[in-house]
Amino acid sequence: MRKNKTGLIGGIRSVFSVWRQEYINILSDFGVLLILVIAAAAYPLLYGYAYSTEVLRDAPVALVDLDGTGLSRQLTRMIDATEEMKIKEMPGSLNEAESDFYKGKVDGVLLIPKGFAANIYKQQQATVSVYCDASYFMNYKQVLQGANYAAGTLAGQIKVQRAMAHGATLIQAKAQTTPLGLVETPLYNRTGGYGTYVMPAVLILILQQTLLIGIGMLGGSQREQNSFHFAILKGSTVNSALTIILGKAGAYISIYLIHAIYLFGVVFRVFHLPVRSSLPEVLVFIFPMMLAVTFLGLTMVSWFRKREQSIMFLIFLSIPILFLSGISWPVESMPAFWRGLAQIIPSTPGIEGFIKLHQMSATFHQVSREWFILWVMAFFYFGTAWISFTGIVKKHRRM
Amino acid sequence: MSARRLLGRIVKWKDPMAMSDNSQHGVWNTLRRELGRMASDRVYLLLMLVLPLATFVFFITMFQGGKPENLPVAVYDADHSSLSRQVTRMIDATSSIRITREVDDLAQGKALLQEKKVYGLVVFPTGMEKDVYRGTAPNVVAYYNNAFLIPGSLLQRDIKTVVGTVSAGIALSTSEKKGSTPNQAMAQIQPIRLDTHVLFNPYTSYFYYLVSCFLPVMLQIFIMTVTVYALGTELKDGTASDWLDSAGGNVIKGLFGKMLPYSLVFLLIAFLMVIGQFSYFGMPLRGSLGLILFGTLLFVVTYQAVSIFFVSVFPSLRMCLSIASSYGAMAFTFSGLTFPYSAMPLGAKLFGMLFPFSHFLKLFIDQAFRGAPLAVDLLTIAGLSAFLVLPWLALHKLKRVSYAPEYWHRI
Repeated sequence: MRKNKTGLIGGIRSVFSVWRQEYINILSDFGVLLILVIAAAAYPLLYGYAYSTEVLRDAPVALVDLDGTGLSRQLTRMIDATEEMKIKEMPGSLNEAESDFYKGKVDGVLLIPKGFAANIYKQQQATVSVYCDASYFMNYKQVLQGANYAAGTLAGQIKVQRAMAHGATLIQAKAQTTPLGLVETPLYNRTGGYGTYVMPAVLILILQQTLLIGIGMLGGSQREQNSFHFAILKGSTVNSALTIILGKAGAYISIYLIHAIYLFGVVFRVFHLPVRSSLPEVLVFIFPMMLAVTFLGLTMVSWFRKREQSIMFLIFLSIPILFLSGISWPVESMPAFWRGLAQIIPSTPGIEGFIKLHQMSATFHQVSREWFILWVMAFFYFGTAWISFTGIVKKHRRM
Repeated sequence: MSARRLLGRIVKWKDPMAMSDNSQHGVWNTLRRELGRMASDRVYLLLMLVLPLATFVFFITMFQGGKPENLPVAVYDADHSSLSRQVTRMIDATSSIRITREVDDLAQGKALLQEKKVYGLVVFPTGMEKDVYRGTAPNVVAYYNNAFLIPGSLLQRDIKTVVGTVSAGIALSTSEKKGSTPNQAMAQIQPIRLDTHVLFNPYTSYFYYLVSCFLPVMLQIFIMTVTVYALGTELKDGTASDWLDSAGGNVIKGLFGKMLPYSLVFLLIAFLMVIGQFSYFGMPLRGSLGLILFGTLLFVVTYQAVSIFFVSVFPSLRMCLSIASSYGAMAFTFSGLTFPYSAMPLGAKLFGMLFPFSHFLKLFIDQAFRGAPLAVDLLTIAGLSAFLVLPWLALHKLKRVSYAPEYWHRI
């Protein structure tokens, strides 16, 4: 070997040598392998399975029929027939229904009061009571929606019958009682499926967090064992911090491109999640996020002196970071401080842009702002990683 | 594994003085030793006080509003009538919506939706007002972004309420003109009224709903991280035998002395978390505070128990931290709060039972929000307590690995 590996060729050769060495480091460390390869592959399956049913169908409810007429039985059948709920118990009183609820047998209670049918026939307003449990929002929403739907359907029939008895046409009948209608069109997630809603964000978050933790773990154990592979760079005039960063980044990004293809190409299809853009387009979009996350991870290596520290300080952050992305709590309602903090995390523009592109069928042009921010982050964190590794290399040379 | 350390242990083992000195070796001795270890490692201060309290502040300030308000919505008004303007104003006046844009065609509105500049688009068709009075029952069309479920459902609810109110108002005045009394008219328009009782969270506040869940979610991650770290470093640094020796080789005393300081600090934080929610943030408390506090105590101790079990089964610090923290990060998903158990596949539901958090959350919701009878939560308490069995199953193994140098210094 020549004494001075000057020039581009030598530099590139050292980068590939670090790159190859990093693969060996990953493969020979089960802890790292668990995070970088196995967790990133298995987590999505576990979450996907939990949310695979997407919506709460046939929520169990108790129905108390104090009226006991043909009409109340018709309403009962309509309630049972809704997609939202299913009558599981028919207790004789509200007290019994309450006890069924507390025992966890039912998620909500409906009550048809005495005189329900009589009121309808007297052309007076009849009531149906619904008791829904707002301590679990999805149960609450489904029971309320189902009750609205069933009562509305029966009311609609009654209204049309009455109007047509007076010789009105169907449209006239509708116009008399509902002169202004509403057509609701939920976009991008028609059925309000929970998996469709949360999985895209969770998958991007898994990519980011496993990558950060894995990089920190590898860096931490190399620092702990003083085994940074600087030996290969001895006597080199190449900027060795740069060589290490590029070599390591190459290894991580090549693995995470495969993860991305697996997540967006396979996992989305396995769980029948909507896909509204092409795989190459998504990969082009997500690439700068991977660069930004990798360089952020390499920056943080200088904070972790021990291998276990990255996992201890990064896992708990996953949950706040998911909220900072705005997927659950809208960005518009976040306190300004947290909105600002969110702007330094790659997953924030990553999740936002990915959902627009992949779920909301936006064009690439429409997510160019997020893409640009990701590139800015990639360059910024590249700079910080360089500074961080220059420090580490100096310290190790002194030893 | 250094030969010197091994030698040191053997010397200690053979030293008859050390053996006879066992009277001094017990819970207090281990406790004193542990306090020294806690003081010498900054990680404990960060993970037991600073970061848990910081995440509490995060979730409390994040959801402080209770409900998202003034979400941006666009209007496409092709009618330009007083009716369309009236409906627009009423929608704008709802708490969740602010009309921020007026667009001239559907394509423009669709682009705004896709760029997430607005969460919804309300369309008034041409001739809407005329059609209303001609009696052809036109429709307002509302598009809303359901990829974001919370804004989506708030928009849906508020737009529906406004259009329904306007429609009923028109129908009411028409039939009153025809000579009906208001009651008769109401019975005509709405023969069946839904009498809605929103139980347990009458303002449907997300603050109560999410804060009461995410504070303990974060706390359990910290409890497990700290417990696994405290025990696992003994193995990693090869000090495990020293730890057990400090308790005279008794693994139960050793665990008790070692865990006690962590239990006390976390209990303090957990009680602060629970009581603060009721006293400072006005969270409803309809059931038994005593039962909630007892559940909170169990919550802290069961997570320590689970962590001890993990360390015994996976006696390597890094491996065990990976497993414990993955387990902790999944607790929310499998708690059945936002995506309920009644909707989950059976396997996921059963998996959810393997998290103390699921039991704790049920107890908390039952006792704080629902005011459930105590009897229904005896089973919940039993479910939570069941996790306390775990460390007993692992005591023997823990003692064995602690005295087995081949388990030390594993990365």
